[in-house]
Amino acid sequence: MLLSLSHGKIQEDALKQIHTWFNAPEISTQHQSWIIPEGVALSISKNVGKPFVRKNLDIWQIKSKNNPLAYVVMDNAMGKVQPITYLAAFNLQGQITHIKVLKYRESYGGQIQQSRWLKTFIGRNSKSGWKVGQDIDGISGATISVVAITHALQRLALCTPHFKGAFHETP
Amino acid sequence: MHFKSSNPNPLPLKALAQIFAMSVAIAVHANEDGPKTQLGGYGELHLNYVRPDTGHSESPVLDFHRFVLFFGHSFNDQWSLKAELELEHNVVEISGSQNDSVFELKKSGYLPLEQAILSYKHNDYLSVGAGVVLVPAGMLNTDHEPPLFLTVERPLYHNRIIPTTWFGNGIIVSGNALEGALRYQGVLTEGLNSSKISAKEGLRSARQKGLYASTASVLAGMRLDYDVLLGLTLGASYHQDQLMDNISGTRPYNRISLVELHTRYAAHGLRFTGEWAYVGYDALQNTSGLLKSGGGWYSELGYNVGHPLNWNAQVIPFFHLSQINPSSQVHGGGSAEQANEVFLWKVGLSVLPIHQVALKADYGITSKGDPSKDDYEFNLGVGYQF
Repeated sequence: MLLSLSHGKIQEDALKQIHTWFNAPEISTQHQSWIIPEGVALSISKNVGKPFVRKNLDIWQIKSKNNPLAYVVMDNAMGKVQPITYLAAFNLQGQITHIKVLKYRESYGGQIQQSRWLKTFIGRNSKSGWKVGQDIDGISGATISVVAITHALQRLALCTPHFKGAFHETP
Repeated sequence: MHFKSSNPNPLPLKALAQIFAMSVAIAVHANEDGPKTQLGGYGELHLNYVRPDTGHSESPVLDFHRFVLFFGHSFNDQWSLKAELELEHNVVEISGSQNDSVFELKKSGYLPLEQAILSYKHNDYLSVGAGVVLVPAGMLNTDHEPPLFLTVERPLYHNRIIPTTWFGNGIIVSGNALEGALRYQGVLTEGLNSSKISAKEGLRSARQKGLYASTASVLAGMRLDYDVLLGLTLGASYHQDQLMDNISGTRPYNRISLVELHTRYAAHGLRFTGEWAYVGYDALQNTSGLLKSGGGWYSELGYNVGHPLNWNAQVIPFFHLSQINPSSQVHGGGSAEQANEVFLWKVGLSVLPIHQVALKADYGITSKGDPSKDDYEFNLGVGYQF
């Protein structure tokens, strides 16, 4: 499918980005298209106030010498017309360590791709403050995208304990 | 009797079931990354009370000023459509005769297709679009949802200097660089009907709005925006309307140019917007009364008192200051150059309980030089966007 994240160039771009974040020789990655359990999706959506955009998450478990090190998630946030695809890395404590917008499809705007803005999410976890304008700086003229990315990352942060478990079951 | 089937090979039920199952699967798959058609919109209800310079005040007016439906469709990663249909002032009535008074005509609403752009995105640096496009001049012409400005009504600057909402048929090129910190747009659209330029309202009535738009003149423009810091944007645009032919002989201007600067700072609870513009007119003849230039500026400063208190809602008292003269230099000169000069200030409160909802109140004075001729106004508004 044209907008699918499950294959094609976007997967290559994601992997390339993952290898710049985790580039030691002993690093290995394992990919899973993880279906968000319905109950989990429902309770997290309720908590955040906005539902997940996709029914599954593309997750890479990052291992160093066979020990889990991090989880990297590729997901979409919904822009005004087009989805925004981003990649976020979480450490084992569930904190965001890296974030990058992989594909911004809209013809206008694009301010949210700035790393100086995305940096504000680093170190956040499920218990952090996620209020736009208060905990997260807004960007003038990009409110819809700012709120969409913030909600999306908060949902992922709340999701970390669940997808970590999924990798333990499938060694 | 034996009926002979008209179709010797009827589609077996099993095949139908398979096709149905496949189409369901396709639909689900297509939906995997979210809906492909997005619905949105914004609207604003106003209560306006004006005590004009004549001293004769009328009852406050209730006006559902704008009801806008937005829809966007994403065909694939490259192709998308963005459209906005707007209804202003509740009702559009086409009735009566040519003898209707101006007053009655003014009471009718307005139903424009404000934008409908089919876009192709080649990469981050280059997108091309065609259709009804928004002229990328000023802070509010392209983005004007109620939570984006603090006053109840849009600034007067965006009425008489930049004729917001300024749209027309044409093409647009856009892109961004430096991770989106630098953004640019260029347009080529239908021109202005310069025979309708007025000393009081500048370019406003000269917009053709895509209605069988004449290409007797064309408008070309470009705009740059740069995020200097996180929260601080500086921008500028230049637009030029060039007469191509004057077959009808009605166009008084050869060229009209608009140069405009804008800035916004929004961080740490502070909200500042400033805009300045100069409009230059190149008349075909030195007929007295034709314009040479106009311009104006406004600045708006607000502070969200909910920010230090960590409130969910934004509560923003603000101050708005503006000076406008659409006809500051006129052929023949004289008092005509001050006749449309306006200085105004407003104070108000804008409350955003959530990001998409704005409740506003403001009070202001518009002065035209002579203090005895000041207009006083009071406005209330509720607006939303989604």
